[in-house]
Amino acid sequence: MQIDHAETLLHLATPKRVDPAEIELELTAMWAGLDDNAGDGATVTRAVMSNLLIYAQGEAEAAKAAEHIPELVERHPARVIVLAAIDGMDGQLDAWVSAHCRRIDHQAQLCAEHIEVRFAPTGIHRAASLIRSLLIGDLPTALWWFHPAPPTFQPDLFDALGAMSQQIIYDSVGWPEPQRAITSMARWVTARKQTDDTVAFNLAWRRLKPWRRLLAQALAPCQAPGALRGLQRIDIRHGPNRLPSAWLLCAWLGSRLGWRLIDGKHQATRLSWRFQSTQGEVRVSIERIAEATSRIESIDLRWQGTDGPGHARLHHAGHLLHVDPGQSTLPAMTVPFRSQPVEVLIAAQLAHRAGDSLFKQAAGLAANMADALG
Amino acid sequence: MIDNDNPLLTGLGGDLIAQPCTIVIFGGAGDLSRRKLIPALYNLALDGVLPAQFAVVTHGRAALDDEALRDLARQGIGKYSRRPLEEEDWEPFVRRLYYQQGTFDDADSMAALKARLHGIEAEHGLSGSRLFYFAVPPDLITTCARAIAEAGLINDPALGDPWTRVVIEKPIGRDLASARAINDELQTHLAESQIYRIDHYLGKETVQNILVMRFGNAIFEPLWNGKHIDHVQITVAEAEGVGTRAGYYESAGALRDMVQNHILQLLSLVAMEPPWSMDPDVIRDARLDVLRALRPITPANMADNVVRAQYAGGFYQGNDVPGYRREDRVAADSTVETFVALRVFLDNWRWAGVPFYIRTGKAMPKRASEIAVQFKSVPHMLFNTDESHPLEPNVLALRIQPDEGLSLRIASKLPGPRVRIYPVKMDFRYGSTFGDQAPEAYERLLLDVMAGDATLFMRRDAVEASWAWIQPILDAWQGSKSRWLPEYPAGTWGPIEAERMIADHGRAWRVL
Repeated sequence: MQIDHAETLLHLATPKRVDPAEIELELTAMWAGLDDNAGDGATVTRAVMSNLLIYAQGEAEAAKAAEHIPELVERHPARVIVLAAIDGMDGQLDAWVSAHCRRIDHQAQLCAEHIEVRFAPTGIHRAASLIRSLLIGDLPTALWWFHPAPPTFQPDLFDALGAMSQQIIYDSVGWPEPQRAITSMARWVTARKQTDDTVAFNLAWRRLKPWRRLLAQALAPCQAPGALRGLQRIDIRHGPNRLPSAWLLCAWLGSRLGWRLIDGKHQATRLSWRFQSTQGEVRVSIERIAEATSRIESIDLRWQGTDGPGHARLHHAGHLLHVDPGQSTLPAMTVPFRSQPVEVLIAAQLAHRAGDSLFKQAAGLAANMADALG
Repeated sequence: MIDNDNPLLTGLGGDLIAQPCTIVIFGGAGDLSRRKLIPALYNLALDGVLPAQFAVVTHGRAALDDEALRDLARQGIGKYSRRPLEEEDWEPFVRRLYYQQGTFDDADSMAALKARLHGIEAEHGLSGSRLFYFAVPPDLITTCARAIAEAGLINDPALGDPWTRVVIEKPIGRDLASARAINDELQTHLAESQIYRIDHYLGKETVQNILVMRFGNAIFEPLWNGKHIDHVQITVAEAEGVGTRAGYYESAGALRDMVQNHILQLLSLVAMEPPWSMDPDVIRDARLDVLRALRPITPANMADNVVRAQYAGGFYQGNDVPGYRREDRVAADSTVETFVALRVFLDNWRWAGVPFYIRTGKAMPKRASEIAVQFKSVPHMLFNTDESHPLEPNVLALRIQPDEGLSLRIASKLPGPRVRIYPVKMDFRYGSTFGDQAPEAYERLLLDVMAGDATLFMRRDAVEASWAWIQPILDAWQGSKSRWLPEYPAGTWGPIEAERMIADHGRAWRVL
């Protein structure tokens, strides 16, 4: 008998509540049933490149995280385990299983498993014991900290889940208490030794890549001779929730260009620092614009180059990032800027499992910049 | 641009940082440009890996202007791009796309191109680094090179930036002498480091994965030699007949069209020694060593090692297919081969005594390219002692296209009280494992040229080494008085002669 694929997809996508001790049995039965029914040459493939743990806080947040899973596993098939910490739950664990499928040719489907485990925050060790039993061996395990606060703010949970993971992915966008959060997380990141199994990634770092690319090209010696070393002033303006991103961008520039931090100052919606470069003082400011979109809006650069002073403005222009040459010899430049959905960023990050020393250096300077603000 | 000059570049784009340049496509309104090159550039732009400054100037004889070319490009992307055209991405891309009408054998026309390039480069703040892509028929390659040289469009590589790089499509010549003549002419205008001879097979993910599989896994390389491997089969099968390419095919044939370039490149990746670094010339030296170790085909051993054939009328997926000689633009007495099978040996320590069986043809049952490494049988039979049903040996199959991936056939015990052995296949499929669409070969290769990485391109010595090995076969065929070739019905895996060639040594072609 041939099954109705649309119905099957729907059925598998609907979570089924199961006894936590019988999750594997239930998944096995689910696959067996699907294989038996596929018929007519159709095949069902269980694809898995890694174990992906997703930490969320509360049911609503877990549901929001789950919305990203179908697109995510299409790019990076994985056994996904959503861990929802639910305040007020008793010491027991609740579990649901489902699968996400898609057609990859006329008949075959590709399916990835989705398990959700709910637990009381105080019962993390009970939950961790279940998760350990659910991890597929010989595959990398990553933890996506979906909850919008630094993992280090919940040390017990983070320690327990981080210990199972080779890759920690978090997102500094929208962090509350940015200064404390940046310091806390940056300290954790920089404390990792080169030989540590666990590496951390901030999605904000990945989002900065178009800006980094454009800055690298705008300040290239062939375009603006002497500008890289002769930077004197950088003013970054950003929209809501993007202070940590702008901060990280500054820290990247400073760490790449070998600046030494002098001091920092916090005034209302504006943060500023002074650095010492090989050619003098560099003043950097980050300012929030309340009415703007949640993104880095613009970067104003001033430098003393070998051809004299220069000024350029990098800013958004629709779906592009644009360099306005201002008083410089730079040509106008444009690169595409596509705001990537978070599942695309996660899938891309999962494919990069080695640590990123540039990020680590930038995080280190970001922490020092936080300290300098007092 | 190197990291020492610009520390901000570190970590952006891995090892491949495309440098600002103008891409000039000769034959810019043609099929290759519309189907492959412009869609590839569009996808690179979507990935954000093109430099902030670039322009694409297509050049051709057709009476088009920028807008008409942009329409053609839009249609090409709509039809052939792996990702759909999105208006917001198209708009910034298309503003960098230009058309210049002209012919490259006319000095005035080339002067006009030069002037246009200067204008476009000034508009986009480009320094004059240029990538010339010769998407033209093979007999026009040298004319193109001469034209850009005479127009003063080639920069001296010793001066560094701005650079000039030239991409040339295969085939480079139709025999050793013509290949040498083309290379000689190219090198009167260009340094070897400026010439990128493209073989799009080398840009395929699965082909690049051969090196990763061999040298990124500890389990294969110890077995990768004549002590453990019985033989290797390389198949490049095409389902279509010659179709609209009959004109070209009549002057080429399967040996020139597939073996001299794609298949010998695959062979060199499978058989090369481990390189000591990933430096382009180290890799290319290792590939060249394989070509130089090919045992020559001589008149004395040709009958045992070479089979050529032509497809006769037959069926493909239930539809009639005419025989080759009945195709449009094919001579009724053509002796051009549409199929060739070869038994090849490499005279070196690693591969002593290991045959490499190669076959390629048109009008075969399906489109499939595969490299299959068949290991030797177990030395002592403990199971299935019935000699009429020996254990199937292990086979590692690397599927190049379609359904890219690899599989390993191993013997396994069937469940039950008796020891019964059954061959099972451990299968890895790119599509089902990695999900996301892989980039097209041309995307990777264009990016490589813009970044100045020649690893995946053919050097002159390799092109000529492969022609030198092919030449005795071509000479023998040329001297043959035969008016008929062996035939195989369209829609089958080749002629009986190819079956016999491999069966004489106790082996069989794989059914793909």
